[in-house]
Amino acid sequence: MKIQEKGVVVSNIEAARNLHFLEVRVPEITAQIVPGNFVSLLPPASSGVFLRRPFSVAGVHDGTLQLVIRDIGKGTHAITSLKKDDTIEVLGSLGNSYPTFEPDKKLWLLGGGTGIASLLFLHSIHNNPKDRILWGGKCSCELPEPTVLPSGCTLATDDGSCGECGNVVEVARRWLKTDKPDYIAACGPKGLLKGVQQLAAEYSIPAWISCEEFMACGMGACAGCAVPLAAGGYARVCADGPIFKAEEVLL
Amino acid sequence: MSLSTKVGSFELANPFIAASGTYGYGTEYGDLSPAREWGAVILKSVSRNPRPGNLPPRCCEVDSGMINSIGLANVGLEKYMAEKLPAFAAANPDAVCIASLAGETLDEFLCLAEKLTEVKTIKAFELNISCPNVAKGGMHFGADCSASRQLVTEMKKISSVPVWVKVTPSTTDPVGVASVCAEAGADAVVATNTIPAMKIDITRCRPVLGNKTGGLSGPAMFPASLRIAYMIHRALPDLPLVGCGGVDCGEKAVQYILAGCSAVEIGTATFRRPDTLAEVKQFLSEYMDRMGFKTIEDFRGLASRT
Repeated sequence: MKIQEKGVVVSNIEAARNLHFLEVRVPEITAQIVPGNFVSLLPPASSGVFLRRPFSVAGVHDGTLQLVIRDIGKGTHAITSLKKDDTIEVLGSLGNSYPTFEPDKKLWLLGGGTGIASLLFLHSIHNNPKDRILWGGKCSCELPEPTVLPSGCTLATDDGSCGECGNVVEVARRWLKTDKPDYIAACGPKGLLKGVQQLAAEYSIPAWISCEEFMACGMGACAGCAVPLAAGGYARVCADGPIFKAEEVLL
Repeated sequence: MSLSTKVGSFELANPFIAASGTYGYGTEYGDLSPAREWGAVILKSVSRNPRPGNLPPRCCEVDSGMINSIGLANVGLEKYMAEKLPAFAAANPDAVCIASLAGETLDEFLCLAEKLTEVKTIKAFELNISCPNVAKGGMHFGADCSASRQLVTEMKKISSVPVWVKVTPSTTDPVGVASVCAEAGADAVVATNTIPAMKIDITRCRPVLGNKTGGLSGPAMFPASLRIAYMIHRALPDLPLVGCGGVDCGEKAVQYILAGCSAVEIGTATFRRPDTLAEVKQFLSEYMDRMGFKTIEDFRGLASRT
């Protein structure tokens, strides 16, 4: 069910340059959230932006949503400038979710930038010690300190300044020489998702990707966030997605 | 005090109408903005055949609004009748539903009307001759007075429900188009639709939208659309008029009524705040109370008489 709820900021930590971990208390929405879902936040009026901003949920804890937000424009700047006890309007839960993976199956969760959010949530729910989660960025300044990450999480940077050297797809490809997951879930920039589509096809690994597109309503009403489908036509990222089987969409 | 209104002979419990293209097929918002709370809701424009819509990206944000180039993406008449209308009726038994029709040709409009005029769920037609995002039909139709006249004349012959015409702001003579529609028997004119607009990405050095250009909606276009509604009412005071464009608060809705509109469509604002309808209704009640107006007719068009 979609609910509009006034959220209260519980904490806002800048975990890396311009990258914030924001916790917002919205008990009614939180009660319904599952991995893959997203919420849309209404930036404060002082920001001057008109539309809501959609964010995948990175976790839930005791009535509180966890979000990973990069400050990249007026809307996200206003949201990442919020302080403890500030209020913000939240709409959720929105979108579909990842499938329920069997507990004994091994998952690889491949995330780039803020795309890590839904994968952190999925990781916390699936909770199989054999799962691996890979979080990539251009350089160490884009990623948080490894100490704040969940167990099983590896960092990767394009310039090798922290964690594994190479982009997420390159690192996953190296891992595949000695290991193989039962399933892959991925979220991040289009290049990463395209790479995951190729990997999944090449190694015959079922994969799900979380897509991103500019959204207006976030609820399936306006058809603004269209993504082309391999079978022809378009799907709405907000209502038919954001989670799709990797081979379903044309990126 | 009563918020009820009449657009010609068409009665609405309140003057607020969900604008086509912003309210999906009437079930998407669920309890966030229930169809029964609106005076009426206008479903997404339907064409004879399914339309996939335009190349993404299809929308972007601009100061005080957004630009879209959805391209009349819709399921087509067959699925509209077999799935969308029954789902709407089942979810919203008490709501008033208006169908927005989008044809590339006169024949396509007539085909849509023939099939839909007997559908009980639909209480009126809104002819979309003002979409800026399609190569044929849309705004090209609406800027042509003789094509508009023929369309409305033929539609009136076969429609058993009121026929409204949504006109484009992108013509030098919107009053002329409205006048032609009125003469041809239109039951109401809706002023207006989006204004052609664009945004350029200065890093990628190319237009943001896949279709390159789109239609501007949201508060940015309110003053321009209001002026057109005002001009139409001044010239054609007996023509039932519906305001549309940029309403995101009760104060702007009241301006459309003062310009002469009997009802006001709300669209893009619902994306930002699904509870916009509740706010505008409350504002209107308080405004009428404060001003001593008992009905919408008590103040409709007052600003056009000065």
